[in-house]
This record gives sequence, C-alpha cells and structure tokens, in this order.
Amino acid sequence: MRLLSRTLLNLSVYSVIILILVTPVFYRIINRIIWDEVDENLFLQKNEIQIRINRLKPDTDLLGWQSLDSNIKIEPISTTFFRDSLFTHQQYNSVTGETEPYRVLITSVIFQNKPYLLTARVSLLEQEDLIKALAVTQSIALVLLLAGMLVINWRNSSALWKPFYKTLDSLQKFELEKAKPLSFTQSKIKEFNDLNKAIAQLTARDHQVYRNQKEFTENASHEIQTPLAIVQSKMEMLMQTNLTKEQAGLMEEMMIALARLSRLNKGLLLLIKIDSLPFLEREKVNLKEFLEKLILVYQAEANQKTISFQVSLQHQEIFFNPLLLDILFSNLLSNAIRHTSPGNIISIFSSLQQITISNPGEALPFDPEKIFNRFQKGSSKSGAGIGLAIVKRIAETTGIFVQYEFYNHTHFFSIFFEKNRLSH
Amino acid sequence: MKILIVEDEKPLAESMAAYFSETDYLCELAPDYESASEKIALHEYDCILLDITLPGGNGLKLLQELKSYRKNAGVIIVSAKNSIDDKIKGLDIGADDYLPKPFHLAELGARVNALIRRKKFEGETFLYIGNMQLDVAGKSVTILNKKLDLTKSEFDLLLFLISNKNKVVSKNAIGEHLSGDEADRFDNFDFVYSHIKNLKKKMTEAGSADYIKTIYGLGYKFER
Repeated sequence: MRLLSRTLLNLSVYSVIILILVTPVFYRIINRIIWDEVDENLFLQKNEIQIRINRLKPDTDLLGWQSLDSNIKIEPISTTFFRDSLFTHQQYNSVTGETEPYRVLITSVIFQNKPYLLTARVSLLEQEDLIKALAVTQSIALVLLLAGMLVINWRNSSALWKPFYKTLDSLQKFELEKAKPLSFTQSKIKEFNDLNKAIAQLTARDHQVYRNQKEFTENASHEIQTPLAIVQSKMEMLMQTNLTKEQAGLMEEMMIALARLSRLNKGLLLLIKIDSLPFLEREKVNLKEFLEKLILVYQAEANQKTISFQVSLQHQEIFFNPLLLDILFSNLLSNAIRHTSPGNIISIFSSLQQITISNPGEALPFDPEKIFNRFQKGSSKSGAGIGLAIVKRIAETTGIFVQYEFYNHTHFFSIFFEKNRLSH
Repeated sequence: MKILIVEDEKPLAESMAAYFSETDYLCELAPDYESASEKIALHEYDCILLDITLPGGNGLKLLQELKSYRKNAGVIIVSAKNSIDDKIKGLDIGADDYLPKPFHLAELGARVNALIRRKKFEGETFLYIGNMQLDVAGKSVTILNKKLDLTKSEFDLLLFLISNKNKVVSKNAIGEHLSGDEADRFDNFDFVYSHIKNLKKKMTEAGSADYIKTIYGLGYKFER
C-alpha cells in the first residue's frame, strides 16, 4: 500500500464513521426540536383559546365556533379532573382530502365554569418535510466537508511527499555501471534533504568504488599485456634453438597456457570495455544473414570436432550494435562447440523474438543460476570462464534478455529481443 | 634494410631485434622518446616499430614528427593498449599497421615483410623460391610454370611461412594469422594441421621440394 493511500485511508475511515453516526443522531435531534416546538405550540394554542373564551359573552355558542377551524374541536364533558394527553395520529384532513399524520392535544378548557374537552391538532406533514430538508441539507454539507477535507489532504500530502517519490524514482533507475552519482534538488523539508544527502553520498561512494575497481582491472589487464608479450617473444626465440623432444613437449604446454592467459586477459578487457566504450550505436542488422555468416566462421572448428550445425532461422531484422551482436553470438557459439562432444549436433533456431542455441550434454555440475558468472567452469575444458559473463554483460547493457535452460540432456541458451528492436 | 625498434621494454625490444637479426634486416633500438626522436631525424629507416606509451612522450607524437620530415619509413604501431581510438588515431596520422601486444614474433615478421614489400618494391610483388614463383598481389603460386590450385588460407599460410623462413613458427601464430580478427574466437588451432598437410601435398605433387618441416611439439618451419 502506498504511503499516501495509507494516510488517506485512516482519514477516510474516520470520515465515513462520523458520517454514519452523525446523520441519524442529527436527524433525531432535529426531530426532537421540531416536535417539542409543535407540542409547545399546541399548549400555547390551548392557553390562547382559554384566554379568548374567557372574554366571550356568556351566551356565546362555543360549540358553533369550532366549525371555523377543522383543527379545533370543543365538546362538553362532565368531569373537570382531566389529564391532558398528547399523541400522534393519522387523521383525515378535510382541506387536502387525505389522511395525514397529526399531533393531537386533548385537554380541557373552562367556559362559564363548565369544563369542555378541547382537541387541538397540527398536521405534521410540513414539519416532516422540514425535517427531511434539514437532514438532507446537513448531510450534503457534511459529505462535502469530509470529501473536501480528504481531497485537500490528499493534494497536500502529494505535494509534501513529491520529493520522496522523486528520490525513490531516481534510486530505482540508478545503475552503478552507467549513471553518474545521484544528485537531488533541494526540498523544503529537512528530513527529505537529509535523506537525499545520505543517498547522494552513498551512491557517490558506490560509484567511486565501482570506478576504482574497473580502473584497477583495466590497468592490471593492460599492464599484463607487456610481460605477456615479453614471455611470448622469449618463447619464440627459444623455439628457434635446437630443442630436444622433451623440451619441445614442455614448450608446447607452456605455449598453450600462455595462449590461454592472453585470451583470458583480452576477455577481461572486453568485459570492462562493454560498458565504457561508446560503441552502442545501433544499426539495422539482418539477423538471419548475420548468423549464417557467423556460423560459417565456426564451421572449420566444428568440422575439426566432427560437430555439425542444424540451422533453422527466420527472417529477422533488429536494431543492434553489430560489434556487440558479434561478440554475443560468438561467445554462445564457441561455448556450444566447446561443450559438445564429437559427433553431436548444435542447433540454432529462431522464432519471432527469440534465438536459441542448443547443444546436447550432461547437466551442469554446479547451480545453473551461476552459469553466467565469471570463472564458473564445469569441467577442465579449455574455456577461460569469461565468455558467458560477457554475454550476460551485453544483455544487461543493451536490455535484451538471455536465458539458460537444461532438459532432455540438452543445454538451451535463448536470447530474447525486445519488440521495439525488431522489424519484420 | 633498416628497422628502428622504438620500445621501452628492453627484453621485448631485444627479442624483436634478435628475431630480425638472423635475416637481412639491421635493427636499431630506441628505448625512449628522446633517442627515438633523434634517430628518426638523423637516419633513414625502412620500417619503424613504434610503441605508443614511451618514457618521455607519446609514440603518436613521434609519428607526427616522422611525417613532418616527409620520410618514407613504414610504421607499425606496437601497443599494449589495444584501444580502437589509438588504432584509428595512429592509422590517421599515417601509421601503416597496428599490432596489439602480446603478439607472435612470426606475426610481426610477416607484417614487416609485407610492409617493406609494399613500400620498397612497388609493383614488384613476385617472390622466387627454387622452382616456385609467388605472386603476392595476385595471390597465386606457380611451380614449373604450372599454377597451383590453392585456397586462400593455403596461400596465406605459405606466404606467412615464407615471410618467416628458416624460423620455427608455432601452430598458434599460424592459427591466429590465418583467422585474423576472428582469432579470439577459437579455443585451439587444430585446423592448421590440415591446411599444412594439404599445402605440402599440393606443393610436392606439383614438383616443388618439401620445404615445410614439422617441428615436433612446436610448429612448422619453411626451410631453405
């Protein structure tokens, strides 16, 4: 859950609870007030009537008066000891011709020392409408208030947390190999500034360490070239002398090891260069033609080992740096040749976005996850242990996806190109 | 024929000089920028082997000096920095070739030979060995007036061996030479053996002497 949603959720839950609780309470209170008002009015009316009939002449027909107002009824009663009663009742309204709820007060008045029963009533229809109107208005106001609060809070929080999300975003995009150390714009909030400062320092340090390490590897690899050249030249000079068979055998072993060392060193240099060389310009490459040519290059080596290629390629064009593409597939192909026993078949096939190179063999003696690691070697075969690391590095810098699988006693290396690199 | 070796690593420079000394070439050494600059100004060379990182200055600057004298020496840059930038820059200023360290002396020998052939004997590209005639430009071999049917690799192999004649050339040196830029791709150069076998067979069948000797455990030698 996002930070912003979390804070807003609390607020929303509170608002909804308040809304649910307050609306009926409010309705009840309004109801109460209005009913009290109605009851009070009824009693006032009774008092008013009492005062008025006291002023009437003794011979006035009291009962005749009541026909003037359908809401007042006066009838003679025998007892003066009468308790007032107040109730709500559905009654017929002669004006509207409908049955309506009425608040009815039954009480007594005294006229000429004789008790009369007074029934006064008030239609509650208008009052109910009023209550409803009041309740609705109030509820709308409450909803608007809470909604407004939420929106304002959300906008405020968004603005407040913006630097945080910006920092988070740049951290997610941060790549040690590529980018410069992170730098941030100043925020008004101290905590964010502190966070940014800490992150900037951390990434700068990481970057420096990475660069130092890279520089070290690069320098070391370059420095190794010269002694290698000296040893190589001295061995070639030694070769020109009269060597015994035994010495020649020793020389051969040394030359093989030396060749391996210089290949390894070149591989290391290449691995470093992949991120630093500005050779990432893309070109349109016809992948089918490209691979067919590359396979031809390896044909002689494969023939030597009596390995054959089974090629099934679809027409594909991709935008890619040709040099990187060459290094990528060369390493995969030579890896396949190296680890295929004589007499077997290496198959290279492509489908829409994918190229797979597979060769039969035994399961890896190590964790397949580690196959793209540097110097992860399964057998005593002569590889330098760096080819697949180079493949992985190229994949990482160019955004393609490389995958290793093993089933049916076959190793599968697949390269997946993004759609936007392809054009059919 | 004079070669100037501008190289600060003394053991390497000595190996290079020793490799050429048994041939018709006369080698001089310059271990730093100053002495190289002086030698370039005073003497004429057929070929200069130039290291880029030198005590006292950059080899590329020496190359510019050389060009300013309008001297006709061929220049091969020999550098530990196998960087594409240096290579392009060097070739731009006027170097004829670029050889990254570490290299096989046999490869250096072949490059120097090719360079001198280009510079000295313009147009004259025929080599004669016994009853064999090599047309370097046309990439063809004639033995007893009969053209030999050689593949490109076989011709390159023969020329490489002749360029290093009377020297033992290792299988790796041949393999790397034949595969050129592709050399790094291969784990081993076992294919050299079959090329040698075919070449020897074609040459002896055409009536040439069997010049190519197999040196056990080491490589091959064009002996004459």
